[in-house]
Amino acid sequence: MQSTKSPDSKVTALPPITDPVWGRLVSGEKELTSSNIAINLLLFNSRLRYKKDPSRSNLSILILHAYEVFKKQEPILDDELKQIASAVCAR
Amino acid sequence: MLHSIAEVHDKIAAGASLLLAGSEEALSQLPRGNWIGGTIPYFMERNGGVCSESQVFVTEIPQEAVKAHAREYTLQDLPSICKDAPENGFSFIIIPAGCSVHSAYAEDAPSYEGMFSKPVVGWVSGVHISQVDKRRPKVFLGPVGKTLSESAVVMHVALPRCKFAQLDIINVFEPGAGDVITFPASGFSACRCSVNGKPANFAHYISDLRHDLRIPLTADYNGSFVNVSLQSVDAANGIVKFYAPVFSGVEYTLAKPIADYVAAFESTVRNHPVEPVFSCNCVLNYLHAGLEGRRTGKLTGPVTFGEIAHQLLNQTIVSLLIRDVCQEERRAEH
Repeated sequence: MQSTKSPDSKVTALPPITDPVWGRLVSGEKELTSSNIAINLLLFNSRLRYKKDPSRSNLSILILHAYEVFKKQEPILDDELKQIASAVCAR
Repeated sequence: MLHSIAEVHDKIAAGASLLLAGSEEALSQLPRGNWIGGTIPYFMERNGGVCSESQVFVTEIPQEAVKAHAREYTLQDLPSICKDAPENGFSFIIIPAGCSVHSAYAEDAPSYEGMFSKPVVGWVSGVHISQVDKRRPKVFLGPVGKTLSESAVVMHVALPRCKFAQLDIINVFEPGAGDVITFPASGFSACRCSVNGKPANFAHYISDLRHDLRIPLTADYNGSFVNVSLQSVDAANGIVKFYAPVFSGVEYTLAKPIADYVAAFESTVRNHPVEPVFSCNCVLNYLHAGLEGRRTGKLTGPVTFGEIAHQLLNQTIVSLLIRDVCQEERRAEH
């Protein structure tokens, strides 16, 4: 992941889809606070679907979908990207 | 804003791409053109809530749109709505209340391919309250002059690179601190439920509480509160009907009671700072908060039988904002 700006400015890149943070996000292991309705509905529905089917294949589908949504929403995400970045760095 | 039929006629003739709301009588008088519409006679206008059978609420597709393409969606092709949507932009949907497309979208939209990555915004069309169960809500497909009651209409709008469509919701309700309610099956009605893990009949539970039916069920979707409004309680037969489906596996609570619905609603919308491209508000808010003649700040638009911000919502204001992300980025860099 490239965090190309100062800590106070916007983090400009998402971690790659292979990063374990995506699995933690869609399974609910990693909390994420957001006021973005698309992100909140996505995470809630992903976690509901993961709870019903926690298989690896379902998790992969959920990760792919979540990554696509975050990629699309990236231009208007800020705090969310910082929370994800700090979760990646904290490992 | 509200316009006379003649004014809307002129806009269509001038080639504008429009999202319209009005009575069936009003919309039926409009010529073919690049517009979609849905039936409803209630609106939030600059000067307050208003009921009009003769005027049409007009939302113009933003000038910066690259393309605006209107089409019909039947029950069969509805799941492909996000696949058909432009890579950057939004899809504006109007669905007639009470039809099979309404229930299908309400129950299945969260699992449609591409949902949440491309914005789907819109509303559920209705009729005057006195005509519920007497007249069918309709939608209109302007390019071909079709009136529909069993299909949705969608305007797919493509935006240029720097413009970004963002959806927002305003909900005066928040989850209460009471019992946690879950349902064994998803749907627009429920008999059985669990209350704090114990089996119960939901109709009997609601009746025993003497619950105010204006207060919805609410679930916390990762910080966004999603309502399910209560339509009716048949205690004798043990059935509760909803205006949107409950979902199995979701934990609901009855929303926190609001002492003064009108005051709570007014203070919530007054604090909303931005003027959206489009907004809509639930007919239950219109009725329960007595919005006829009352202003709703910068939030104007149709009053609806259901609001759509990706998925179907109840008793919520939905807004569509268009942000200039290139300009925001330049500002952040300086």
